[in-house]
Amino acid sequence: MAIELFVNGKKEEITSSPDTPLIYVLRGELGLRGPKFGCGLEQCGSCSVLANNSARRSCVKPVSDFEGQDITTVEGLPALWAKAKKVRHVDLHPIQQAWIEEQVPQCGYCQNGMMITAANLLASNPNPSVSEIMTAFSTSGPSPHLCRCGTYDAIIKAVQRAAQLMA
Amino acid sequence: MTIQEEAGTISRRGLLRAGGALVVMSAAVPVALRTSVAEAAATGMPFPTPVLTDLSTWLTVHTSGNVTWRTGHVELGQGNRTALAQMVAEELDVAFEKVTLVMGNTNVTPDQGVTAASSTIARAGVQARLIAAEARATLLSMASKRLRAPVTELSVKNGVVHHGRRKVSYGQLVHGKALTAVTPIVINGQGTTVGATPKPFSEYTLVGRSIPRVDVVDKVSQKAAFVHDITVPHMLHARVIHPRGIGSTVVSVGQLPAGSNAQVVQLGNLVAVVAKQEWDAVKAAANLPVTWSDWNGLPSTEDWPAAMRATPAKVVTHASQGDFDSAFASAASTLTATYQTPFENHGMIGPSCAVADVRPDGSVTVWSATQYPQGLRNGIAQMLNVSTEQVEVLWVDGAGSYGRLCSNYDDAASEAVFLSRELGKPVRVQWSRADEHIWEPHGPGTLHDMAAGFDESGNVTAWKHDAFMAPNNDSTMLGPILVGVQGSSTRTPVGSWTGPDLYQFPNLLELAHQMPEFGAATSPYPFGLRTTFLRSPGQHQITFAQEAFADEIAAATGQDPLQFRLQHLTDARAIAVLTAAAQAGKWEARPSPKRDASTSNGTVTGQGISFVLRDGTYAAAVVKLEVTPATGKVLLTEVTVAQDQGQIINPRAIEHQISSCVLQTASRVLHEEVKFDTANVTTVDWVSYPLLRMDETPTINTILVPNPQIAPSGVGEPAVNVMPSAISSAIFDATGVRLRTMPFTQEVVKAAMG
Repeated sequence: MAIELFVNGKKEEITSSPDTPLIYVLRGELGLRGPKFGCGLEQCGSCSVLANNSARRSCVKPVSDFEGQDITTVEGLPALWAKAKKVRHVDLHPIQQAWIEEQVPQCGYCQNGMMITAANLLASNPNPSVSEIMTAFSTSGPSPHLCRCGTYDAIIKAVQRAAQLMA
Repeated sequence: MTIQEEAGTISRRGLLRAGGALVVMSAAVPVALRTSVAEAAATGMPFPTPVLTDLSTWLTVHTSGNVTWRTGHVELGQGNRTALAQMVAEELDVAFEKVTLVMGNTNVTPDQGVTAASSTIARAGVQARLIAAEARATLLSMASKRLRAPVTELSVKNGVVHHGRRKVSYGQLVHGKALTAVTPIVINGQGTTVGATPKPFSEYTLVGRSIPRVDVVDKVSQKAAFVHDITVPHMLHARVIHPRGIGSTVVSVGQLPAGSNAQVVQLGNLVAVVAKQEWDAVKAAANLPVTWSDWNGLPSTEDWPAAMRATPAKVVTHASQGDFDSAFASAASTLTATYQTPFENHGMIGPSCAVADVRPDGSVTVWSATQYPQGLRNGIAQMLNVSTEQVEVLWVDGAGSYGRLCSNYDDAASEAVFLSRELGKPVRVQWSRADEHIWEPHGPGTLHDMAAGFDESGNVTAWKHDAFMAPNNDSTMLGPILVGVQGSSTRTPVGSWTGPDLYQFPNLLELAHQMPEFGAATSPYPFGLRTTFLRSPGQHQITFAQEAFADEIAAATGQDPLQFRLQHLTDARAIAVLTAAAQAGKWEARPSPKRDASTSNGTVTGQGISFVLRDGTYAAAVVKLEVTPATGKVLLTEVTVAQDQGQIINPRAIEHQISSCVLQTASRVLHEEVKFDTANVTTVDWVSYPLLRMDETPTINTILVPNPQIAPSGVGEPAVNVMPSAISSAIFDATGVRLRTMPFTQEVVKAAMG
């Protein structure tokens, strides 16, 4: 029987084999671009998604582990915010808005994972300190979130701005 | 780059075919992303080779007044797509929003060389500015006839030419007509010249503003396509199983396990598995038994410095003045030291990826994040033995590459073309994390023997810098070499010195030992441990040794490191950035080390200062940090960079580049080292080769020193160079221990402090 996922609010019957890591299902079968392949080892964070509202790496664990779960990629963040605010549609989640206002991305490849972890952090801590932000991106997950371009300081500012926008 | 934006370039091709003259335009015709060489070949029309002296090579003015600008340079995350558009819009007198760039599409964009060495604004941007000025003059000449008024009485605002109350837009002027340059554009070794005179900087309204980057919204909303996101119909996913040792060749290739959905392809030593589903290829790569020949031609990590010294090398004199030997021999005091920098990774967060479609007629389309699309195009034509006109390279955004795709244009693309030709289908090659960590052409390891002599007053009378540098220009691509169609390279890569000398020392000698690659002599392939350009190549390493050794002299002679530098500098711009950084960074004027560096929380704190001139840009940094002696942990607390890059195009983009240099280089200095055994690289992932984490981020202050009358110079690299020595000197200031071998990991610092 096909594995069922709820991806960005839509029910999906997955045809990939159950041992397929979630990222290949999201990218290959469902055509999403948000989760990025960085290492396949849960060592960099580029592939992060929200699974039942919790930040998870998608590059190792098989899709069968996520059976029945709500998966949100960055593409689904606006709808998540619209639902929370009980409005029909928003173009961008406040986190995305903050990322644009702070001009965070350089190459932009790792920023999917950064925004997902920002969403995860702000859901439980709506007004994080710089130290709490650093912890969330450095030591709270399976590995630090890595950025090669050196955007960490811009990310810290953007998370703080997002917290203001969401207040 | 969106599909729609590419459209204008295609209609231009149609126009060139029709008439050949200059610009022009009608409404854009939507076309698929995959512009087809095959399509053009079918109509008997070869792709036009861009004529650099033809205005139509560079821009198209659409009826709507929109402007499409074509550049051979590519966006690497540094914001040049935006900054170039600012320069063009400024010179044309059109609104910023009206200008759209097409980057790195070999069918239509001019070959302006590789995007590297912080050159986009300084070279391609200045070319664009001149050519836009020429285009504006041409448009004004047309407007003069239309409005029956002399050019001197015309004014332009937002792409509309005014004469009194009468006006005509650029779009109306070119509609249905050809636009010709009034005077020819000349691009040669002396630079670019045109008939028209660009605007004086005092009239700028767009240049100098922090216009938001045009690519950021799409990158945040995930509408931007990275090369990793490119899919084409009937595409197969490939993983390449690379040799075990750097010089290993295939002994035998076994079978995939029963039930595998993948197929094995072997072309000489290029071994790959391909499948319709990516996961099937990943699994097959892990399960395919391949036996490789033994090859053990490298020194190990511990042995490479000695091996480097023992290897014969060409010695090049970089600079020589006075008589170092006798000045050193007669000096009142002398100082010698050896500095060492490790082999490093570019560390693209997304490992190499490319898609290639080689069709039966020999025509080829490649999607790549290469830093040099024209170079890749030529390389692929050569390796597949087809004409350049049969190959199109479509550049797509990639993960920050920092030189990894600059001399080596794209390993993954070079493998994908052979697999696609063999299978008759488009093939996407995605490297694994281990592939990238092991096989990327690394940043080179270097050694620096420093010697100085000084008189009783502490004045430097003799200075010598003898550098041993692994190559920083390897240009091999793995595909053809593994397949066996490309033999030994015509160019032996060498390490070279980069950077001028600004300090005025009376007797000076600077030598560079240009080392070959380790293992190259015994490998069946034309490479050894591949090393190539990594952000500010050569100068990063040279400046580390120069600037840290300058601080050693200052400390040995009891001088304040800032004052020591100012005494030996005469260049006003150098003095200005050092002074600005010292002031903003609250530099404490005193000799190092600090007398009482300890704090109440068990750490010791220190300051370091450094200066560089890189490709015309002056940068100085003050680093403040704390060291925890018990653990050896170094934490940067505040970094201040003052930079003079001449004219400022986009201040915020420059500030972000400075932050990028600060954080990326802090990572290199504190954490990064490629390790290897005698067969190959052993740092295979982000655990064995860690990067700086967010909780190590210092406060970063940036000061842009304005100099609008001077042509803009590069901003992507200068601040890289000031970090290593400033960190080394700040650790010395805090602890009294001088670290001369990077990286300064926790273990190294703890051991050094005894």
